[in-house]
Amino acid sequence: MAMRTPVALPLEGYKQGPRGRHESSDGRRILDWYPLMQSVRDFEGAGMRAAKALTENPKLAEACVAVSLRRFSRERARKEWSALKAMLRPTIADRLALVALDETGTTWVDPDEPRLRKLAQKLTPRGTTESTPTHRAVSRKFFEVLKVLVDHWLLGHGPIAIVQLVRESGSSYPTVAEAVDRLVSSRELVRRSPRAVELADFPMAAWNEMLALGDAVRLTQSWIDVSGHQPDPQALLARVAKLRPDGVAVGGVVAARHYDPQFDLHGTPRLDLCIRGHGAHPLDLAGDLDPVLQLTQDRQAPAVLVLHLVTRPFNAFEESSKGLPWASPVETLLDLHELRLVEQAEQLVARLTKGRRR
Amino acid sequence: MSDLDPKAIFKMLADDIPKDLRAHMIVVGSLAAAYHFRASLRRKAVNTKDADVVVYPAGDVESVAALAATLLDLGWRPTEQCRPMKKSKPAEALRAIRLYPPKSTTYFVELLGLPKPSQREPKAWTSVQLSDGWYGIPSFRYMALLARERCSTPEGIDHAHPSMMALANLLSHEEVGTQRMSGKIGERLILRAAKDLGRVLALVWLAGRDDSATWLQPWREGLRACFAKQWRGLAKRAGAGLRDLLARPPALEEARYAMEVGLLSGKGVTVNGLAAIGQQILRDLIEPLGKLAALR
Repeated sequence: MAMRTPVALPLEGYKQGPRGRHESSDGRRILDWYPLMQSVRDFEGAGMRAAKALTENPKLAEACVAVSLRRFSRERARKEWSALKAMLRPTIADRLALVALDETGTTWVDPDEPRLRKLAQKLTPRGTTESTPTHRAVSRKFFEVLKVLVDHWLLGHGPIAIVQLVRESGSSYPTVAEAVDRLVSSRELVRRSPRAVELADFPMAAWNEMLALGDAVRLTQSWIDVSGHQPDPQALLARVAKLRPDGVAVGGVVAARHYDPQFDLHGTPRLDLCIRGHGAHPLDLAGDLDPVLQLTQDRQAPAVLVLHLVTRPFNAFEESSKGLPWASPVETLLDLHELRLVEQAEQLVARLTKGRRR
Repeated sequence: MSDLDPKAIFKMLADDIPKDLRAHMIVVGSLAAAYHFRASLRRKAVNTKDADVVVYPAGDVESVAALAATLLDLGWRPTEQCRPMKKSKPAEALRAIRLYPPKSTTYFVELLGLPKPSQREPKAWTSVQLSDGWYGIPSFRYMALLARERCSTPEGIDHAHPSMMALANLLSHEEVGTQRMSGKIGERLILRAAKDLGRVLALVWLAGRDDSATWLQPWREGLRACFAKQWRGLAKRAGAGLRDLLARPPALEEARYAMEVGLLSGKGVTVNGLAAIGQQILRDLIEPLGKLAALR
């Protein structure tokens, strides 16, 4: 994963694991140490990486992110940390821990436990950019910017103002500026004016990068039907429509049929739903839909329901006068790729952009 | 136990029982469930030996006696355990009337009585005199519900609706307890409650969620009609046994085994799956029923 990598450090009670990760001797705790955390984006990426480890390994009791903050405040870190935890399921968020040291040497730990305070004392800020092997980060926020750009391009909205990009992606101006620079330098984005940009074509390189990160970008959760019945995504959809949960939109194959009435696929392999960060909680939603749904970490399991968290504050959903909102085209495309319906995804792009591509 | 084709058994019952007596009987239990869900059964058959027949109206001993006498006249034969007693009391010591059809021993009919509204004990026995002596007619308190919502075959045989059988079974067990079946199911002696509550899970599984979710109103109306003074309390307690079963994995495994041998044969339903169906029942039916009962 292309983000600032943790650094190995001799720590009592921990052994060094792969990719700079520390593992406790009983295997129940992990710790990632970032001696030079310079941006909110990297900080968020570090939290996401730890959350991903917890998701992948339910037996882990704790994933601790230890950071030495540079160029951004402890207060900012505290706010970002709270926001990150709020997006996660309680079963994940409750097992995340943070040890943060700022430039004044003040420490902050979450949860406030003596063990973590003791750990903070052992972590002296030390690394520098010269001594710490790192490579340039690509954070989840970058992909939020990318998703906004793709949506505007697919829907034929023309150039988008930077300020609008900031607003729709929920990212800071520096983050958007950096994302724009990166996409312009790879010639996937064109500056139409000093304040507006537009994708030159479908941004295949950046898109593939996003696909490679998979669940981490969208915080995807998959649910299987354990009842022994044939999974029935359409019946689930009917229940979602009846429940009308807050902040939930329909994506996947169902939305693809909305955007393209000629969408070429028989049946509905699963139900994809997008949930806004402040909307219905995934666990509550799945439980309300059907108690026979069980969360699975097994990517090969035949999921009947897949939930994706969406953090974009605006335009991630297309409202419908008839019922549930639709997930935006870019979310729908991502669902199709997850389902390995690559050909259908390409056809959807072609139909949505018909007459506009060279 | 043996695999019975429920449709064929119902046809045989219609052939062997005169029409006027058929009007007083309801087939209940696994055979009724198998008939109702016959299209969904993997082997189109149910693993059972007995056809439980409830005779109504409630407390109609004469109809039971008439039905038994007529069947015997038609060549039906008592099973090995079905023997007369010389005295009518104590009724609970009497043998139930179990009869083989005239030309087969592949199944037998057991006659049950529809309970009177006044019956408070879970199971009561009534003595009935046939030509060779006294027999017993058991009646189970919650079987009163089975007279409601009943269905009829083209041959004119009534059978209990799965919804009412499920409710009767739920009410019959407020806890799993330790009582085991007298005979083996498959290779095991199963807890009575695990078998009966497992039947509830199987009925809901076979009905599917959309169908079973519609059982709430018939449950409420059935309880009010059959237990006018106690229905609120019964409704509030209806899920106690199921919750107990779901909290006891070994008992739930027994339920799974009993259903794998029976109605869910070949469906591949796991303990995990049955537990999930149990949660579905609590969510869709038990909790709303409790709320309805709390309304004044």
